[in-house]
Amino acid sequence: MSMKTERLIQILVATATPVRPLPRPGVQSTLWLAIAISYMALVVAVISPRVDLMSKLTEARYLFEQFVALSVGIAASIAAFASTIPGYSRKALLLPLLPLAAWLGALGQGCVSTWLHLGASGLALRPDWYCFPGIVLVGAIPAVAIVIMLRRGAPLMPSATVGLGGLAAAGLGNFGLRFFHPQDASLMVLVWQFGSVFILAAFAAGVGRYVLSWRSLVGSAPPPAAAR
Amino acid sequence: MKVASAGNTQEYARILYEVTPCLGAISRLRLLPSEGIDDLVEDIARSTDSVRATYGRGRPILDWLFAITLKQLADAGRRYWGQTTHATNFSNYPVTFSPNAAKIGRESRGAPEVLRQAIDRLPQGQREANEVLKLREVSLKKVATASEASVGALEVSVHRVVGALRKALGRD
Repeated sequence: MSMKTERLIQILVATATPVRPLPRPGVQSTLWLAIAISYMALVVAVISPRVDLMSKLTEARYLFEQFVALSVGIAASIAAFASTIPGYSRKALLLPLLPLAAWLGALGQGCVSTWLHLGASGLALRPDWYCFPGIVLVGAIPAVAIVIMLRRGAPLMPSATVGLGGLAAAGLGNFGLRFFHPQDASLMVLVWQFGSVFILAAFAAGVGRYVLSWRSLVGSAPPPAAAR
Repeated sequence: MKVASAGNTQEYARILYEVTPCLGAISRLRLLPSEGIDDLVEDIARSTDSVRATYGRGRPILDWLFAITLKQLADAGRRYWGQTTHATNFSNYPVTFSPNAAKIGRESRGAPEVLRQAIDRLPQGQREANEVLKLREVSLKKVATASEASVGALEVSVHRVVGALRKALGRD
């Protein structure tokens, strides 16, 4: 071991302060969910819920789609937090796949059902420019919250971590959107809502390495010059 | 590690002193250049220190440490191989002034006046062939058609011109 390395160890030991271990991914996810759901409830209350919400809450398809959208958000957040813990099983990254598949399956089944009942005219695709900004609005604070929480972990795979965080926030954004945006046609939900969630998650993955980096973490540690 | 994270500096120092040589050994196994190993080990030590909070109670410390180490090694390897793939080595490349001064008119290659006189001394046929084929860069075929001479004869003529000019310039 060189003198320089030995000097660095002495500095790291001298400047070490007690640290509180990060909670388990499930606990972190619960904390995040508490923040995200509170904000979402506030947004829904301010914008005012859709007029047919009470009847929708008795509709199995609507409830199932909402359940899987929320599940995507929860599973993606657990996977994102797990990815910042060194040595944690990488299988956790696959958690969102099941709810995502269920969501796609439900929307696909809805499209087929509409086509069987109404024919091709039932699958008409119209522009719905409200979905994307709506999801961004509901998912904004959850996105900021999850990034702040993820930055406390280790940036082992920044793109995947931030991508999963983006998926969590966007999934929750879509869950909130459907409380005030009366758009339930399966194809419209598939294209405009699921599509928006996918685009936002992909964007988050793209900027991941700028959001999480060792440089920002190590910057708070003793500078190299001090060790040399 | 749990005790070290709680603020026991002696325990933390013991861990770092035990672990750091292992980090160096692992780094050498990854075929990275030996001159950068110390810096790499320090990077890993600093990174590990910065994420102490991610160590969870009851979890194997080696799994935790190896995950950080392997990530740092992968990044270092990517940086190293990326640099060596795209790098171009220059030996004694001048930084400020080039040792080779630029040529000025008087120092230009050859001697234009001598060349001009040598061309004037050529027989008329060779001089015309040189004018058309070398200076105006007209093709042999066109000149042969216009002058009713064969391409072979023109080639011989040009060859003689070049030989005569070389002789005149002392470049034999």
